[in-house]
Amino acid sequence: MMEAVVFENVVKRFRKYFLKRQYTTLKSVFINFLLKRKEKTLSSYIYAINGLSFSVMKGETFGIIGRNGSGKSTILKLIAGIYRPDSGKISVNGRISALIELGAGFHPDFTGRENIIINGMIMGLSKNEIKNRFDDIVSFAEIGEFIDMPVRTYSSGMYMRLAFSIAVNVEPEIFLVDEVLAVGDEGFVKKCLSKMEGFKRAGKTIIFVSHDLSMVERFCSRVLWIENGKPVLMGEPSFVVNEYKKSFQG
Amino acid sequence: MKKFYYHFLEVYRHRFLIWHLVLRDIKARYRGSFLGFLWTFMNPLIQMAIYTLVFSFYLRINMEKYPAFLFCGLIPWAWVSSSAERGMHSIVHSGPLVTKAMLPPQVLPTTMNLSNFVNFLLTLPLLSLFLFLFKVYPNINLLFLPIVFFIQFVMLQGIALIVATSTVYFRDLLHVIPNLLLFLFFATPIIYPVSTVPEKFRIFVLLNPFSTLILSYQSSFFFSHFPSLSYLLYSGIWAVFLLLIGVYIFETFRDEIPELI
Repeated sequence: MMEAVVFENVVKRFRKYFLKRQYTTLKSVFINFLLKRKEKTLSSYIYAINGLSFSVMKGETFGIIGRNGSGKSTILKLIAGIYRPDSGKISVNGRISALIELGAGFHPDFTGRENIIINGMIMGLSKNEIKNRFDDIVSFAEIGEFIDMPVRTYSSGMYMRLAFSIAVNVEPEIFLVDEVLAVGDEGFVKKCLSKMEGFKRAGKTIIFVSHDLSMVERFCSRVLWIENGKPVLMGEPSFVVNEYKKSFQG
Repeated sequence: MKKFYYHFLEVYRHRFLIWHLVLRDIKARYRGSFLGFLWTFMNPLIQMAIYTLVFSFYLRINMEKYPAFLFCGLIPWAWVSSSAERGMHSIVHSGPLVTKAMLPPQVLPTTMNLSNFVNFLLTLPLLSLFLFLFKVYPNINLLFLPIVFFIQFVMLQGIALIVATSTVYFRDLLHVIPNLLLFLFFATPIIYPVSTVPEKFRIFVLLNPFSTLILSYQSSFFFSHFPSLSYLLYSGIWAVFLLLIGVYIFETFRDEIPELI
């Protein structure tokens, strides 16, 4: 068996300063310079991922659980290549499609149609490949005439449906899903799950982040539990989920 | 060295996407009507009317066919200012395309600069018409223009990368850059011919790489003579320099960009 994703001692940290203020200004830099005040916070960090190693085999359905802010989404963003690790090594084999933090990379002012094309192109599909899949994407998403309206006019459900539909229809080899099933109605969630079951059967790799523990237990072949960017436990789903549940009973 | 190679490789890899985004941008600009197209032409036209009023009637610059002269500088300047201004917004306002869809951020300033270039090309027939009305007949020297276009494109690509990256860090640049552009606009011989600048100050005008660029436009369009090679070379060196600086700054900070927008 081959590895789809490998993490070796990965560290990802964020500057506290950025987290707090989002951005700095020339003005403040200038004033600090005049007053000879040092920006101490610039060199203090929060470690989102702190020495994490694991590997996911091809064809595996790998679950990641943990409390809010434990680093789950950061892991997905690292796999997707949106963030780069500060140290350690990440290797990924195969085309990724990702649904991170309830949504895809849509430009709010572009129509659904344009976003489909742009997202397809970012994932490396040619225009023809996108055309061939276009109808499938639209019919799966069930958004009807909204396809020609800017996505900022979409309801959160429609947004998520389109995002999911694009992500599954570009034929990824590695599929990253982050909590997307939380906003869909029951019918759509069912459809998504059956699509993901299909992926499993087709031997694709799925990396699944969720707070829905029963779904994780049912769906995954292996589960990683992380806390503060460090692994706590990894292994058989029912065992890891049980231990995780126990941690709440204190 | 590797950095530079990867930067351009990624742009090349996404060429279809860039082209698609450029077309989209242009379509959006001209959507619906002739009027959309009119606006890109109206801005320089209105500016020209204002400057003609002020400088031909109030301040009295003595120059024949002054409005036509103005236009030769205002049209390329419109490309400069829109690449710088839209450039600084390009990454900051890209939203989830960068943070969630794995779009390499250098695609955005590139797209914007290309789209401004196409837009600039589209205004050229109108510029020609205008010159024609003022009985300025360009000649063979127009053939050198593609070189000037290319120099300007490279220069603005560098500038777009610099401002796009730095606004991610310093949001107040959004207020600084328009002022800087206004300063540059007046420091560049667009609304006045360089010959009116007193001899001892002329060197300061010519040190500005935009001056040598705009002068090249003016000589091919308006004065119908060969653009000065030394001017072209000077702008060209600046263009390469700015592009390298732009790529360097962008690549140095690119890993942090998705965290900050």
